[in-house]
Amino acid sequence: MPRSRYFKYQAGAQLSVCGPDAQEFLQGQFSNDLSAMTVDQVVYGLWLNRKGKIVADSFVLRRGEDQFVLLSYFCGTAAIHERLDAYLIMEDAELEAASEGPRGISVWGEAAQARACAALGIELPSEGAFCEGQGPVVAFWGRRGAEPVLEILFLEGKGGAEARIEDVDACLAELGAEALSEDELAALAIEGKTPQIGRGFGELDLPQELGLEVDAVSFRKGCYLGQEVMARLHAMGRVRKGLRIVGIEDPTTFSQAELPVDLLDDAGKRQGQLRSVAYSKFGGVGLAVVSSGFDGACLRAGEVEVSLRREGDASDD
Amino acid sequence: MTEVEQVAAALRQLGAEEAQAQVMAAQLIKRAGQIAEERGIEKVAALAELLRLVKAGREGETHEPSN
Repeated sequence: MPRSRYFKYQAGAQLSVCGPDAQEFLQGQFSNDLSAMTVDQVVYGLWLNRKGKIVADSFVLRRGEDQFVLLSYFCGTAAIHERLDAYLIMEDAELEAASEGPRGISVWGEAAQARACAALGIELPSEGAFCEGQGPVVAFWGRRGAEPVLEILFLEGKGGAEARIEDVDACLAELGAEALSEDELAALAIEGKTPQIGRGFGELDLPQELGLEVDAVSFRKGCYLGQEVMARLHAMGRVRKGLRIVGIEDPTTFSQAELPVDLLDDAGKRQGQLRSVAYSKFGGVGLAVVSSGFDGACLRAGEVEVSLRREGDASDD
Repeated sequence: MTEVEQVAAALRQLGAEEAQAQVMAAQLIKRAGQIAEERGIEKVAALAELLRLVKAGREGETHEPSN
């Protein structure tokens, strides 16, 4: 059973999209299918540019017939607003950007998740749905790595949200749940091969290069910005780069600000980029985007050697 | 001639049918108002830019924002 853990944070983005054409507009922009979405459902996906590169990611929550809210862990409100605003021409929809990202708490472990929901007076959401309580607060299943994580986000209010997060914090601490650090959060994402879009991953990347085509892209939904490239890559079957977990002796060699760092082979040829690093129970780890054609075991990032973990190597046992 | 009628006439010239042109015109004017408020520009300038985009789209030109 997953251990009880939690992480308090401020999300990067919150925007609301309202109006009779809101769903149709979002459907024409988002990489995932929103056409069958009903009220109280949540869908994760991406905002792409014309070339199919990732501009940002979002969880899209349908709060009402004509009312949606977009949330992102790391992408900024301004980036998503700019992307959508540029393509809102004739649809009857209005974008409203929150002045700052909402406060939230990520919770791992069934006991902790149940306790957090009980403390807030909301139900535990089912897969693909979200629950909303007074505040307003929303809870849905997030993407922080391989383990199921419950996201609880306070959509409005600053002081009030902080106080309620402290209430949840107290409940979880009483349960013996462990508070995670930023580094531990990054390690979970790396071990789960879950790229943090907006933090080291995004604008240089196609969804397929990050393994996001499985959960974040619909190949059946029809037209949206970036769809032509997605369809072509889907038909071709593969891309030239992919995500690889790497081992690093001392990950503190790199600060997040210094990333990305080029990964070179013995001949000095660039084979990829190291995008995120953390220190996990397995030692220093990183997540890199590496050329699919490279079949060696090691690459160099500056003076540091990184070892590429082979697919299928155990990481959680 | 009202604002909606003027814009609808422009849209008809671009090939829109009568009923469709009226709906599109009303929506373009509403959107121009939003943009004017957001960006602090004249509504007529916002409307001109939207009509330019509609024309470009009709001619098959792609539109990519600055990012």
